[in-house]
Amino acid sequence: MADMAQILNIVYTILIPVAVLFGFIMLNAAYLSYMERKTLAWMQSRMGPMMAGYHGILQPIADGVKLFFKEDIIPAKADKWVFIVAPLILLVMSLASFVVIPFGPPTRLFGILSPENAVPLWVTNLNIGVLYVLALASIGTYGVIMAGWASNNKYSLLGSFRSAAQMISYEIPMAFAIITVVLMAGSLNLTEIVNAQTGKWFIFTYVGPVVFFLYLVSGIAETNRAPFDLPEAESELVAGFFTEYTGMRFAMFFMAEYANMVVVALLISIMFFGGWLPLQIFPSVSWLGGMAPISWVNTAMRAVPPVLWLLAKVYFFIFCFIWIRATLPRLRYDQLMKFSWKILLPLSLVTLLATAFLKQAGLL
Amino acid sequence: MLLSPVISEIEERFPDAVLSAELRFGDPWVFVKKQHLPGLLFFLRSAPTLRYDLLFDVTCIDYLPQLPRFVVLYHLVSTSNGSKLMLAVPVAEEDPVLPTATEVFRTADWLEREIYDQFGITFTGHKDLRRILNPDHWTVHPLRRDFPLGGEDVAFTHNQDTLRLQADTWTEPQREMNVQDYLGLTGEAKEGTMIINIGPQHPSTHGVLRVALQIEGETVLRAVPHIGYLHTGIEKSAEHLIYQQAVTVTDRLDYLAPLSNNLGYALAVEQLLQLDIPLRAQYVRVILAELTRIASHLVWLGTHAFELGAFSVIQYAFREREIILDIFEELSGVRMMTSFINIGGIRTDLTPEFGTRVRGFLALFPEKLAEYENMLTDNKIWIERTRGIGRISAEEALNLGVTGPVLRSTGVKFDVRRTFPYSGYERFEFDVPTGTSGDVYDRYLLRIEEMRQSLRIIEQALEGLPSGPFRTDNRKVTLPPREEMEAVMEQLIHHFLLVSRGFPVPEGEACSLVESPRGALGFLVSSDGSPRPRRMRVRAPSFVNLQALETMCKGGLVADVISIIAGLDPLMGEVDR
Repeated sequence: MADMAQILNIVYTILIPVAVLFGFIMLNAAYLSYMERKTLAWMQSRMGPMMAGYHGILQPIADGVKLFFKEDIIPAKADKWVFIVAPLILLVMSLASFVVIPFGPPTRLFGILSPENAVPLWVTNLNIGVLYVLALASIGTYGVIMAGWASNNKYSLLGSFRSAAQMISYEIPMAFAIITVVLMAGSLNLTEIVNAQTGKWFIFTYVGPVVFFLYLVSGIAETNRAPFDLPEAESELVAGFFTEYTGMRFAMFFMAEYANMVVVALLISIMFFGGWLPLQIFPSVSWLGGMAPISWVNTAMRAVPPVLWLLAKVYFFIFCFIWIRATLPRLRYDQLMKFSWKILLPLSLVTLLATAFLKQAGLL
Repeated sequence: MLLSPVISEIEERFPDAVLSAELRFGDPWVFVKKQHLPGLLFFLRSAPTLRYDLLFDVTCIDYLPQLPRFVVLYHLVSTSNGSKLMLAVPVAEEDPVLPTATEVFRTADWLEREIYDQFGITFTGHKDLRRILNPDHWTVHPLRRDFPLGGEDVAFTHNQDTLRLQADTWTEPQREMNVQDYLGLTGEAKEGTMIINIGPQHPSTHGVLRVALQIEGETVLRAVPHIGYLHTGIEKSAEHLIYQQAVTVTDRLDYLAPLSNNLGYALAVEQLLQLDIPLRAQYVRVILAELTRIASHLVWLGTHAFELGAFSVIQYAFREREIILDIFEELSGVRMMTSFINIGGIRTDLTPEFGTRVRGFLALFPEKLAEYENMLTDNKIWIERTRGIGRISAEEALNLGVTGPVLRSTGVKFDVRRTFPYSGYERFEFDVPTGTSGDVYDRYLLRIEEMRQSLRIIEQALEGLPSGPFRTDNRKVTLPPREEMEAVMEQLIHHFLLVSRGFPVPEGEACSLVESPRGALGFLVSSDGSPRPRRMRVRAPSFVNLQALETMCKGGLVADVISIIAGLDPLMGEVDR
């Protein structure tokens, strides 16, 4: 019977969480494209997808079916194996990041389970969760470079060069931004980072907005989204590094992009906006927070399940990404570099020092 | 009056150069011998009293039965003192050789290539005399009068095998040339550089433009445009249509501003016919030309922003353009290819709704313009992407024959509406905005301002719109009214003849200049007295402006090329004709 218990243990702790997580990501990747298309359409006084289902609600499924049945073309002069592996690397790396992300505190499913049996809302609670996510994001870049190289197409190659340069430039300020957060929280564990914000979200600290800005900018750059979408700048490089991809391989790049978007939005919510912690009005000013209407609102907000809080924050930031895409033109390659090395990097260093100082002085 | 000082200046310097001179519809035409050509052009450009600083057009007319067969025309314009000069050089069929003008005016480069391509006249000293619009392997010169319409082979399923066999026998240089030669990048193959080919199928080349880029890293060393993918032989087609029908092919030139083309063509033919156009028609023409300018600029704005990644603006710009297209539709039944301005006036009188609709647009549009500007003008990224990009100096721009907003962005105040007013533009108050630095950002600001000025003109024209006939009452070109036709037999016959056979146009040549949204658009119509033109030459601003692409792109980055093409706003229908 010990075997049975072990198997059950594996099912409970690995298979079910992974399946749920995978379903969540896939659903997200599909429906984020719908969300993006609809949001952009409304911002641009259009209708967006309308044909498949009610207001185009089945569009992602139709797209998926279409892409699935598309001919899979590998260019004759492409480096075949690299060409096949590249989208896999990108997709697997972005999916793997989700493993360490806590979606909420261990849940008792509204009091059904006893406290010791509470289900944790993460696959693994890694001590170095932040580092792990950062590392996977860097490996994902290899997928981009390999895709560009293997396609044997000049546009793809230029796209992947740009991507490599961009990743190198933006990972540094990003890493410093994360280190600053780690410094504030005193832990690399994402759950600990959220718990450290119980009193005050990091965005409300003195350095918080600056670090948030740093992370937001480099996060958008990391996901190759507008205004940093140079690797796939369609007006110059057709589709950049995935010009030559078709069918499901093409879809993999898209899934990876949306999954990355969710990761960045999750990390922003977790590191700066208290993760699953509910929004509280004046939590630290007791005489204001305790006043009648405010305290009612606070109580009501505390009643909302933590997972919903996290998802609300995540979708808000995804909405912001889409909003930015609808608004801003694209930067040029050298301007992007300049911005990273001359503005973001010094700024991130200064913030890090300031944070260390503030922490030491006990002002955080 | 205009003629004598020019002639005396020329004769003083080149005593035996002038063959004859005359005034044709106000333009001085000077026939000269070809030996003096480059020197004469240089003199005309640099003489302090003349200063013909813009070689507006180089073209050719084939007077087939007459001798000498060809006349090559150099159309010179002075942007500083607002005068025009047509330098005509007779060329015999036996000796179709001329010295090149490219040393004096770089704009002659493509224009001479076009003459070589279409008429088979060669230019000695031209560095790159290749075909430009027609396929490289061709041996014929389609715009010659003895070349039949439809004389080229078009591949269909029933004849493709024969054509393929013919292709095997091509001995033309194209087959032997390697890619670099073919792209015009001869002798510049450099270690560590890469050639990338943008277009003809590319998201941001405004149609079928192809640009061969030689790049080092992402820095552009050379950018060689290749055109001709959309060559439809509009000039040839027009020779086989009666004058009224040819209006419809002018629609297809610049399909974003067809009314400007209609107007240019109509003005040229009306000069030959010496028609007086009623004031009402002139005002309506102005209103329509300005509306079309706004519509065209809206497409430019949308695509420009879209190509730099701000892709919401295109939706907003098209939304407003739709209003203008609806006005056109209401007026003529057609949204784009209206052919509404034709010879003698406009096609029908205004509908009662027209005024209210245009006023509605006038009231709405300034607010929308502010909305676009809000998204772009002060946007840091937008400024970074456009300021200092594609810079060109005033001298270079004039030398390259660039006109329109691109020329004005360098600070040269040359607007045909102001310098050579037509269709009553002298009656309206408007500013000609100019830039200072000649970069893409200036072109952007300038076109936005031009839309504002267009609104001003439309407003004035609508206020002062006179009543009266909307066409000339000259029955030589205007159809008789319905009542007369039903009552009088002769009128019915006349109607029938006008429609089926067209009206003869007195022999001669006339040229017109209009300011199209893309620059100075010129039409040259040569008539042999029959109801069909001997030659209809279109001096397309996009064609000439596109020559400046290489000068602008050199030293920039790949991403800048897109920005520069968008700022040039070429339209391939007009470039390739």
